[in-house]
Amino acid sequence: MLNLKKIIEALNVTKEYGETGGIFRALKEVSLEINEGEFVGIMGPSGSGKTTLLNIMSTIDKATLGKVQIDGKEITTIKEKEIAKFRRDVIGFVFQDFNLLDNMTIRDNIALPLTLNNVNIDIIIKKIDELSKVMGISPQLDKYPYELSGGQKQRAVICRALINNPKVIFADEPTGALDSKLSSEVLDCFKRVNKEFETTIIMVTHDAFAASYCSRIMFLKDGKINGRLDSNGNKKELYKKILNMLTVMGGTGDELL
Amino acid sequence: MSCFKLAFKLLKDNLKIYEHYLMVLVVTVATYYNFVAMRYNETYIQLANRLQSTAIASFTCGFVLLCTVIFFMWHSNGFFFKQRQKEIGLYLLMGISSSKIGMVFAIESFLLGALSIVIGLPLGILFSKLFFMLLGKAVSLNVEFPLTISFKAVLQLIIIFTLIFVFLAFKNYFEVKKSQLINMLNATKKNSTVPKLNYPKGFIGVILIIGGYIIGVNVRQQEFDLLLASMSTLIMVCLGTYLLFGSFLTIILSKLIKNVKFKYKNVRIIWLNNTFFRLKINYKTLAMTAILAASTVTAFSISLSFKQFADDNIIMESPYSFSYISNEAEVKQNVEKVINESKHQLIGVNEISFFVVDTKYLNKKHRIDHKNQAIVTSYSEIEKTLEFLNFKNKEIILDKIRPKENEVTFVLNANTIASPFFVKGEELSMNGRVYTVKEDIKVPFTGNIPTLGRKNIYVISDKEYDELKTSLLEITLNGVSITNPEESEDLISKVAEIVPGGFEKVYPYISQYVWEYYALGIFFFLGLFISVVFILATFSTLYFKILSNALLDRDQYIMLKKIGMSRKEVEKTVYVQVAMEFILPIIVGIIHSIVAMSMVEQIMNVKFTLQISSGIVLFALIITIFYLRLSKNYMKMVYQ
Repeated sequence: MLNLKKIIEALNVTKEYGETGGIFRALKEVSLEINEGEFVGIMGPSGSGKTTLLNIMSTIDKATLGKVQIDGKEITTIKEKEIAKFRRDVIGFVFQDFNLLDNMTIRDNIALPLTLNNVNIDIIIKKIDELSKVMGISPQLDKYPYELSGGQKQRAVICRALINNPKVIFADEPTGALDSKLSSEVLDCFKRVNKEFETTIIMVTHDAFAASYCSRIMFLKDGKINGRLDSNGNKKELYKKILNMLTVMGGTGDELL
Repeated sequence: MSCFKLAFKLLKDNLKIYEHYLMVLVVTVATYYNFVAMRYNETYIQLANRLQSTAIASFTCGFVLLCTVIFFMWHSNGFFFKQRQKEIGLYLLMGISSSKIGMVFAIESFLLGALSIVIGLPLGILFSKLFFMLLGKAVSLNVEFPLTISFKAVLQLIIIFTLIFVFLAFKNYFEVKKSQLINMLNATKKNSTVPKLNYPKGFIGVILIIGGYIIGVNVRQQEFDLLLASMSTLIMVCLGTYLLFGSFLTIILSKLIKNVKFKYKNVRIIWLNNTFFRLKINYKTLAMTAILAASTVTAFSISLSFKQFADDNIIMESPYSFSYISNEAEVKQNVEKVINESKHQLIGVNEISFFVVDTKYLNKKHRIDHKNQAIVTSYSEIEKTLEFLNFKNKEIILDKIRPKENEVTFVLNANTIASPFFVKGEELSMNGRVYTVKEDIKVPFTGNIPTLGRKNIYVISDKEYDELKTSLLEITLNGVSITNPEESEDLISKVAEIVPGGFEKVYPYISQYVWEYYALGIFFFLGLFISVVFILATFSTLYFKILSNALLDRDQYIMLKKIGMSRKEVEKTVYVQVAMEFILPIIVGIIHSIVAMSMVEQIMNVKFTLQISSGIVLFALIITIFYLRLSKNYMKMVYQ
């Protein structure tokens, strides 16, 4: 565990909503460090601030106070013009509701980030071929999103997120809309990406099963970090620990499962 | 809160959304008032009584105007309804009954209508003075059109527009009432399928347009039946345009989408795919816009041309204050003396000589010359006449028509406004000699006087003309130009006493023809008027159609922003995509209108290059403004 490079460093991140008088603090001085190649899960009950934290770390939202660095770059002070390029080159996104463009084939959807960067066409085609094989969606490349199952769509999204070799992938409830069988398909994909490409993955989830794939889990409650669990490689053991942790934290059981 | 209060509040809150719609409605109400008021104006009624065609034209225009306005209101109403479906869904969720929400929306749309009348009507009345001044100018009449508020017009306008607004209110009411909550909340989510390619249809579309163009461009050269040719061009081009946007463009776009080299470059991939998918829903509107744009540009250019045409033709038909036939020096002197004794002043006399001969075309089945008789004159006579009248472009015309040996220039008679016959290059025999028609023009010579005015004129070289002098009787027409020709009746009767043959050889001031051109002036005005409303309504319809697409696009752009699309790139995509859906049909329309105008040019045997250019330039200017506004609003809707 020596010489690990920090990829994300969040320092005293605070997020406030509302105006003076009725301020709601979604995040209260949260600090978090994530190393290169980690697969970090963020869990917590509804309203605990997990999605807010993810959005701030991924440049979608801005923190009220505090600093966030990705790959050594300070993103809280980044200029509007640079943000687009930064997102394109450093970050990949996977969301619950797939976010594929309905009007394009899967191949075009995956090619999008590269065409925006004006990458050479031969390279685009080669990369799509390679990645789609890894994700197991090669036969679906020339279909349109409405012809695919939920799991296939989500794998296509992961494919798109990976296409320009991002340093970090942010995933917000990536299995939220999938049944358990399709969920494990997608999570296996994440695991493979994490291992093979050594891409850092940060995933928000409220599903203990999904979280059990992670190498480390951070628990949030009321805008503060409330605990952490590290995996020893045994998924089942981690799953039990997570359930215990959630019970201790006191969220309602059915919400967390 | 009562339905009425709620509707009022909603209208106030949503005024920003309705901004453009309300603006167009106000302008429409204002122009419509003016249009109706014109028909109730007494001076106009007098004018229309003299010329029945005016009444028919204005009735047709009014009808077309109303249709366009209804078309526009219907479409934009649909747009607002779509935009607010989620809102309706929320009200339903809150437990308000659908009939009550329907009521609120109906009242709201009715209030909007009332507002447009309240603002538009006074504005219209204010402008009506200006309008009648313009009309007076357009018909070149010095008649005062007094400013009176026509209560009949106000009443008619309120009744018609209230009917439309009540109808739209009812439509909204029933649409809300029958709406399902689930559909309302998921209003913008719609699954689209891949458009199918239909090669034969696309191919036929292009063939039809090209075929229509070929008929249109060759209408005169081939001497097609005018009505048949123009009808078939119209039908072929209209049908072709639908197929062009419905099938041909789909094929082209799908080819581009299959071309990886073209597609995978920056934002192309996004607008290509978007346009391709939209085409299935949009193509009817695109084709409709292309056709409406074509009619607008044509109507506008022709209106401008009518004005020029009328001005040009007045001089063709009535080049002199009066004229008489005589070759005796004594008669001429006496006429001059009478003029000098009268209240008029002599400006000048143009003496022209010619023969009347029998003509026969060698290879023409149609009869070109009235009673197969025509006037033959020399090049110098035409030159002299054009100099006398200071006819515009005389140098160019004279240069063009100078006939060589055995050549003639055909000059269309003053009685015919436009001839569909094409005589250039034809051979004809006159007085036992065969000539080739070198040029085909229209210039003033005798004016539209009895008998001679119906005869076409053949211009031959001076040398050949002199040779004819020995065998034929030369006629001399004295074209006299005086001051105040309108009040020359007394003088004319004195001249008729002097000239041998009396009124048979004296041709007074031709005022009745000039009147006909005033009618053309009214057409000119109606045409311009209709064009303006057409442009406004057509563009606004497409405007709202494209903005309702933006509603569907919103989610897409939120996603694209997340994967790292910059504002500049989104802007580029939006501008290209809007251009594909807005500019493309209008360009097609402009090309159509150029062919249509070339048809008119051929039939009327004139060049309207200036009018067409100014029509297109003005149109392009308005499109550009609309396009920029539309793209900006689209951008606002998809990128925040």
